[in-house]
Amino acid sequence: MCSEDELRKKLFIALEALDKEKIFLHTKFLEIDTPKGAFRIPLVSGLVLLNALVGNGAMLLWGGYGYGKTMLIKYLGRLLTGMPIEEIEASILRANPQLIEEKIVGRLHLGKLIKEGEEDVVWRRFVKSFWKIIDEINRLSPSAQDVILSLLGEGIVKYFDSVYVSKRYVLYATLNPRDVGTFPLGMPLLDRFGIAVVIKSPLLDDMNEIVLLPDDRILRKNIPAILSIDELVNIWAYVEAMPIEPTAQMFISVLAKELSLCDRVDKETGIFMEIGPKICTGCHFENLDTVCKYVYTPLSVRAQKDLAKYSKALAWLLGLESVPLSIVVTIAPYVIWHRLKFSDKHLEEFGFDRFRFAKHVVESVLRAFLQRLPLLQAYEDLKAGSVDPRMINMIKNARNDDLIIKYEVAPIIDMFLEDTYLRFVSELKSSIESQKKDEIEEILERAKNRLNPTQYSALTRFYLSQLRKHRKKIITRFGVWKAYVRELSQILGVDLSETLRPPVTTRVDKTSEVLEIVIIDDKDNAPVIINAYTLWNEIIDKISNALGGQCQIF
Amino acid sequence: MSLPSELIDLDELIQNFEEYMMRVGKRRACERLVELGGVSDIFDTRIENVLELITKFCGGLYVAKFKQSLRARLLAFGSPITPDFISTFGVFVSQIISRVLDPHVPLLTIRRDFQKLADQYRIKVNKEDIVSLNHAQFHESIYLSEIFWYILNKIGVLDHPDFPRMFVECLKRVGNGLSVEKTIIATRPLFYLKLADKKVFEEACRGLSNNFDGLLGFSISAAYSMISYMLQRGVAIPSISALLAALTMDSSEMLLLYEKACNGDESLIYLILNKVITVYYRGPIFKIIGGILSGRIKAKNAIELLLHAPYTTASIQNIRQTFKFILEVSEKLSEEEGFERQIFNLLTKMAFEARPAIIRRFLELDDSRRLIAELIIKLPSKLILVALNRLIATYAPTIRHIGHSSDDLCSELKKTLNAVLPDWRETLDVRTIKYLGLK
Repeated sequence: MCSEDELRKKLFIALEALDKEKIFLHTKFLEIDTPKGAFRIPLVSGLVLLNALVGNGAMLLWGGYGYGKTMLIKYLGRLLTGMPIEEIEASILRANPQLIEEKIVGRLHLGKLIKEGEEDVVWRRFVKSFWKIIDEINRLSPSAQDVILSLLGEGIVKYFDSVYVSKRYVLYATLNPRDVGTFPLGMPLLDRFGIAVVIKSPLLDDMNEIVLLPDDRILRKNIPAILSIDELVNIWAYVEAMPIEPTAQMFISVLAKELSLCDRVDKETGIFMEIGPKICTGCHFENLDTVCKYVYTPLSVRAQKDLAKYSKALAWLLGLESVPLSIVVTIAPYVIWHRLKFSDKHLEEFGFDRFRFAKHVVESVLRAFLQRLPLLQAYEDLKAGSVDPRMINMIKNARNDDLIIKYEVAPIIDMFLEDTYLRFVSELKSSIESQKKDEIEEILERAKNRLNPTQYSALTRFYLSQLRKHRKKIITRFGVWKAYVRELSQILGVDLSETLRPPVTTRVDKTSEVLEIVIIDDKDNAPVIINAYTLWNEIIDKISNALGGQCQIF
Repeated sequence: MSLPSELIDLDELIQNFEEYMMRVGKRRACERLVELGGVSDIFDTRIENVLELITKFCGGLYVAKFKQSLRARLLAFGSPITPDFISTFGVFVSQIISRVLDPHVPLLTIRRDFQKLADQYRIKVNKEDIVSLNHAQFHESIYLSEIFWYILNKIGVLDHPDFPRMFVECLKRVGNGLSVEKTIIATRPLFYLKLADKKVFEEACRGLSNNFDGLLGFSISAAYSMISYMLQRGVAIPSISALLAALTMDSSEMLLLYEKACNGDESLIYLILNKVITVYYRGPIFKIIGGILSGRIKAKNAIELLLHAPYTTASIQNIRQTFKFILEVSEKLSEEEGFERQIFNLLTKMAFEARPAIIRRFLELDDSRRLIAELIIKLPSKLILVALNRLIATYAPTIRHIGHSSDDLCSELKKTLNAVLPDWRETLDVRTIKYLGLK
């Protein structure tokens, strides 16, 4: 059983192995400034590795043929899962326009069908494999694309009446935009890829080295197995349990909102809209440093979740305690560039380089975000009961030049200035300070009946934000969890039997304290992570005792 | 009472213009108006009336004629204000701005003017509310800048759609002559314009592109606007987004800027200044060096600044000053992380950017050899040796006569070289060895 640090170390060994074995030679780096210092990871192989660190991640590698995309993910699979390279190779779905459902998903068991009339499905290797690769996804016909849609989204494959649930997998797809047999990929399909990276031709020095490498068509590389599938899956649990800093969390939401809002039309419903002279001419926001004019399509909720997921993975990989804003900003272009439909007029200024444009969009959002941040903080302060008339005035004045303030903040700000709301916050604050559990529960219960839903939700969020400051992490093993789950159910007063069928995440909300339980795998050694948000140590002690002390508390 | 055929009083003419025009005819009346208006004081409040009457009754030709005479007088008085500015914003605003932008009007006078206006408009700025920066000498200018933009805001000009463009045009006219203090005051309203976009800041910085002091003032103004807002001490939202766009900052630079602003860290000034210098500064290097030597900039920031400064126009004196400056700060900063790399980058930058003839002539000076030798001794580093070796080997003069370093210096130099680069006799270029007088 490896500790978090050992697992992290192994990942860096895997990255080094990729470099040493000259599997993918691209001397380009992803530079990340964090509060802990500046970091650098190889751009392509680093991001490809990142995809394996999030549960059921799907990644798109976008680039010309012969750049080594497939080889990189094949060998990375070997390094990170220990699967034999032949097995990985055998499960690759090599796309072509003739690929039909039977060749992708599975076939009926003919013997059983003829003899017993049973529609038993023999699933294809690709479906069952942990390390899934779709080579040249652009060659999949639209109907074949539909087949893999639910696999990408929920890990579910249906054939006749049978359903195969792929509980744990890592998926990569390569895409060659210059291929003649290309079918356009639908937006919902693209949206299901959590992250995408553009692969360009190697640098001159890398080219020089590539020329000297042995022919990989004759000689297979001898790649060691560094991690096992179970170890990799354990990492998912650690990544999932990473906390996100409030500013970073705010940025993720603001990014999605900025891309979705428009002062003139509803991007959600205006599917035939064309951003450009017709809509934007004369619009006050066109001349401001806003991104509404750049994008036709809103950013999906899935994209937001993916941004959080991959940011967590990067923060975990770098050994950070939580996800800072800089990590989110670094990852954001890779998460959004392939999912959005940009305005051609503006895209042209960037030579139709969608990734570069997405980076520009993220930078514009960041600029506006930093300008708006004190206002948003003042808004949060107001929800927490602190009224600064000067800042409230500034928020109200900002509504003319800021879509987020105009549509998301200004319309409801007055609700939090009401005496009833402020009284509740003040009561809650003093109870938090004196750590009176009964009082807190009573206030929240009373507030439910007295406040309107927006106010009540703001009050509970404020309380949760206070709890988050007192987060404690309890880590145990699934074997231990399994043995004591009944006792734990009794202590917590909830049925936890569902947690015995991972991957599962359970939230135990006890009004005044919250527990988040993350279980990724059912192996005895697999970690069970409990994030306890509580002001009191009582519940932590109880859990620890119930687990027979076989846990670590951070 | 009937009007005389020849009116000589402007007030009388303005009051009875229509009647006078009917009596003597349009042409004569308009000519008279232009003539009398043309000799009034440049910020005479009646100019607005004259402009109004000419526009209403006389037509484009007379408007042009009057504006031309007004322009000539404004130029003669050294005012950056244009007749169009006066006709759009009036004499009152024009006069305030003209005085702020006039390099010859001392701060004391501006302070007196502002205090009167602040009383008039009931503007209250407490000196205690000003977020304190360590640069005490600029505290007064920041205070005045705060009053300045409050006044303009109260009058309503900051909301006018033409104000950003016209104000920046005025600023550009005097940009090269403005002091740090004056630029702090003059550029402050830019951050509170209703319609500020990236172009406004770009144009303002271009207007100051030959003026190091001006760019420093702009950076202080920007940093102060950000800090006071981030610390929630301001009353309005400065256009941070447009500023960051004009500075072409990438996301990590933006985050660093934000962090510094939130902590009230005044090194934010230099972060902005570095960027402004890199993107906009077109003036000579000696002005930057002058700014550094004046002690207004901390040594650590000064090195960063030099790394962004253009050495293309550097003179021998500037190269010498840079070396002297490095020597001066090396004792204090040699332990700092990254200092060695910074000096290496600076030497490399000088070698690439400065004119070869200038470097060659610098190297020819006896004093230069001593400076270089001292640098090697004071800052024993392989990296710096590599940079110096490259500089000397590339540009060393065709050595006709090279003096020898003094015995003490020579032995000290050898000692350092032996410690840093034991095989220096093989590694260093023969020209470098000769130049340093080691053979």
